[in-house]
Amino acid sequence: MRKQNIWALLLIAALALGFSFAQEASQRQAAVKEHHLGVSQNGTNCGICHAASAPEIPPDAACLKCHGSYEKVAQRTAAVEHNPHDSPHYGTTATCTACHSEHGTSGAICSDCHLFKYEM
Amino acid sequence: MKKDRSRTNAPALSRRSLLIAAAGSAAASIGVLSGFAAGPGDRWDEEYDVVIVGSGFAGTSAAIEARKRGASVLVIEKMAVFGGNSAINGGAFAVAGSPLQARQGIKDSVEQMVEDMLKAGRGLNHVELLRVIAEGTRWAYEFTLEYGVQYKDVVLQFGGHSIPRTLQTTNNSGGGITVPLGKAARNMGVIFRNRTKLEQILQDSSGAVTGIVVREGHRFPDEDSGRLRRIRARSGLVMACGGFSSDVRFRTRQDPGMDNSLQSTNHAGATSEGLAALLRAGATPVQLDQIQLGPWASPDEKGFGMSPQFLQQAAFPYGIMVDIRTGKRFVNEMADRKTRSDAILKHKDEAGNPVYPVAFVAEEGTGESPSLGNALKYGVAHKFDTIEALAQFYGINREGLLAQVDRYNAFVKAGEDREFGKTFFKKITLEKGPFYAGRAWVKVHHCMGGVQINTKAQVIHMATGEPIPRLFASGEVTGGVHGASRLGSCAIADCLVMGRIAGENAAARKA
Repeated sequence: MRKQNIWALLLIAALALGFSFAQEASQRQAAVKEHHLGVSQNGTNCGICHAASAPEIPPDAACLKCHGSYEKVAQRTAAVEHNPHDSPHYGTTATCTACHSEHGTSGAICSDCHLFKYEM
Repeated sequence: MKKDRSRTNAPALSRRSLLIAAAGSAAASIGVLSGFAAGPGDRWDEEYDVVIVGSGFAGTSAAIEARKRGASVLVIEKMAVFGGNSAINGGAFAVAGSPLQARQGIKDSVEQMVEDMLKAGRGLNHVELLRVIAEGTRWAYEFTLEYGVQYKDVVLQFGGHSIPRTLQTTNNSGGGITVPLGKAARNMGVIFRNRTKLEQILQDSSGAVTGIVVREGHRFPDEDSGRLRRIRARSGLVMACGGFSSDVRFRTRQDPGMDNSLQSTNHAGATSEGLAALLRAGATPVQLDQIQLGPWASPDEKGFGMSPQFLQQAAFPYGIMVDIRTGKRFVNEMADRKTRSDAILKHKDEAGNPVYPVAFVAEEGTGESPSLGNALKYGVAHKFDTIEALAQFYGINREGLLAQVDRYNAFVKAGEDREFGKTFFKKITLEKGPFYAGRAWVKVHHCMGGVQINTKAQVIHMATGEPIPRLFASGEVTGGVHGASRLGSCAIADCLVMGRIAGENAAARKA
């Protein structure tokens, strides 16, 4: 009997803890790039990119919701020398977050081999 | 979902696996050796007929062949982008007896390709595999055409090949193959999942492979990142996870000369954990210390860069490479890669620092190089009106160089290289400028060694000498095909041919 009570108590405690974490997460504000301030409501709307409850790297689909398609993105940078969105190595299908980091420093993976310079 | 009773390592196999892992020096790179106590439970999170680890030439070809046979197929890739090294090489593919060769009157045969590869491999090659690959190149070529791969209308002469047999994609990159093949595979229903790293191969009590443990949402290079998940491979697991040229610790153990003083042409994810997982599953290691240095790399850029397609496709076939201290040539610029790399590596000063050789060619010899423009733009190559100006810029012994150029020109005109025996496929001298030059050095490029497979791409168990049931491998993670020195453009051949065979056989047991 007493054992069961302890378990019940533990369960309630765990639930409460979980709830407070969730609440904290919803109030959290992440640093986002300037051009994303609007859509992310100043970095408070995590769900706009992160569908998962845990902060995971979003799939390209999250980026393309607003940016259209790989092809459209490639067209937009068609004038850039060595168009990173239409390369000999990945075509138009390079994973967005391979280079673009919303909460950190972006960096083109091209630079692993090439001396190209991009503004990101 | 059926509950699977297979465990991570069957007791009967565990001791053997341990010994093998230790023998392959692979144990430490895994960290966890006994079972998967802290991992996910016994249930499968997902099930497929065929699971493929790696999304390069081999993995993608395997995926298409398995899917064509009706198998459900998952391809996992640990990096953010798909394609591995296959996406970032020069897209050069050796085909024995291609229609392009026929059109240009070049006579070739499977036997001749095998002979060339054996000569470079110094007798270490596993000939039965080599033969299957050479035979398969023609069909692998047709296979790529079927899925929209495009090749330039020229057959290139690569070092160590006795005749021109190398085709090159129109965009001069292996991406010209991986992108269309990947697209085709997706359209057929193959699932591709990036940032998903293999953690362990699972086997039942008989040693047969049942599936894998992965880390999903993996953030390379954070080894412990990602959620652990168990994925079942009902019919077969194909390991197409590439070589370990970027794994400095592991490659240095195999060959102490491969330390971090050498750069690699490979992407950062070319590491050894896939090989380690195979060794733990019982695979036979073959020639792991046979690691190739690319002799056409530049110290003036990182990675693969622009240099290989300038030196390999212009300066080496149609020009010369000299020691700057003497102005003299020191190797047949079109020898196999090992011969050239060994010769280049000797160019060090008393303190052990590289004295980079310089290779150059007259403008007439640059027509086949797709990267010269960018090499010039980014300072990897330079243009000179005269040999004297070139000598001055690089600090080359002037008298020595001028005398060498005179000798070389005479050899070209006579049609015989009396110094190093280079075959002159075109009569291009160093008489008329402008000249294009670049510094040459070696970079770690390809692992000839890997696990043993048979001609069905089945992985061979080290203790029993029998295939490990439901375990297949293809491409750079396998060993023995290329022996001591892989010829340029034969890796794509190997990966496409054996990848297709692995995919076909892995799908054979599909439900």
